[in-house]
Amino acid sequence: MDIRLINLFKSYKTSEDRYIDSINGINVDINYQNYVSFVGPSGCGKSTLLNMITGILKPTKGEVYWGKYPITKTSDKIICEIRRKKFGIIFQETKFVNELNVEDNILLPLVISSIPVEQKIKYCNILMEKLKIYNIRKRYPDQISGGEKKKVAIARALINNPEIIVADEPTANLDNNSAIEVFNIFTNLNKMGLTVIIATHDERFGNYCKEVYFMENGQIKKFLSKESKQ
Amino acid sequence: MGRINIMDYFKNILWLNLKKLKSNILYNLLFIFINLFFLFSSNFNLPYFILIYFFVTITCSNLLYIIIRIVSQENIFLLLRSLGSSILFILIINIVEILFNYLISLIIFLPVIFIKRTDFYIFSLYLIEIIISIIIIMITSIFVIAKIEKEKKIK
Repeated sequence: MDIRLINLFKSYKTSEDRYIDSINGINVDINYQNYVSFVGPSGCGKSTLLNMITGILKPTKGEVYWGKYPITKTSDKIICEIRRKKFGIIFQETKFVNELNVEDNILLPLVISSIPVEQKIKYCNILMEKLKIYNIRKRYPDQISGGEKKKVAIARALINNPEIIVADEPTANLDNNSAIEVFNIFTNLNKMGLTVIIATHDERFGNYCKEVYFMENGQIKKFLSKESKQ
Repeated sequence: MGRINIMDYFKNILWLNLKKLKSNILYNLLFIFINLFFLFSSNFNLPYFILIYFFVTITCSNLLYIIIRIVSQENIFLLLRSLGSSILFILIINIVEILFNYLISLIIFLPVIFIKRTDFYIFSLYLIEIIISIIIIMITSIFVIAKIEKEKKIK
């Protein structure tokens, strides 16, 4: 599924009844199986943009197309269904259900998608082994490290076999080695045919991607593609 | 878009609620114990106004528990919505979670019905309590979801 962002604007109402523009007229085409990153300082609108790409937020003006579906004109039911089936989302602050252990948290998207959990236990084990978190599968989210939480979030995003992985600051609060490890995982996922969309403040990681959009004040200031980098 | 198998839908809801029930065993046991006390009070030959007093007190304490429980799950609702869950799904999870406790209390009480003659008046009160709880679960859940959807600040 291709994603098209057409003339996107997003404004927020502040507590003082003023409006601030978080996104200012963004036009981007993200093709199927691409590896794209939005790079910029915190507060430049990266997270807002990712939330609009995943349909969690709707734009104030403009349109996001998921294939043929314009999200502002599509019902919540269809948006939820497409998000469940096509997207694997990794949030900046890795959110978990604290009452569930690592393994059950990874299986959570299946519960929402009404896919029998027992059908995917084997696949879940494979994912945990590949991401080297199998030994912590019975631990609870508050008993694991930041790097492990990111890996659990990646496994949870992959359990439904999504087409698109969206990750917001996947290397935040990680040491350099863990950050490189996480980016290598995304690179491999892209090689396996998944579309990968990342927001990061760390310019170094732009090198891993096929296309890099540099953001500032809610706008795209610079664009680099793999061809132009070479 | 594909169709959802209703059996798998409820099997998964049950799976999730059993896991959550296990983790919150203490609170759930307390909830079950309070409701059991209410059911057993029918065998004490108490005047109706005392039963009504129990009913009001226990219903209020249950509702307080339900409201606190749902409001404290704001982040879980946010996560579920972000993962593509519908509002209906969240409502069903919450209703099943609480109904579970009511059901367990009733199952534990079931033999008493056969051993002693139980006034069915207590069951109508119990049913009213369940209905009030379901309504409060729905209202509170919708209120919490509306609040997080308004804020929409997922980081």
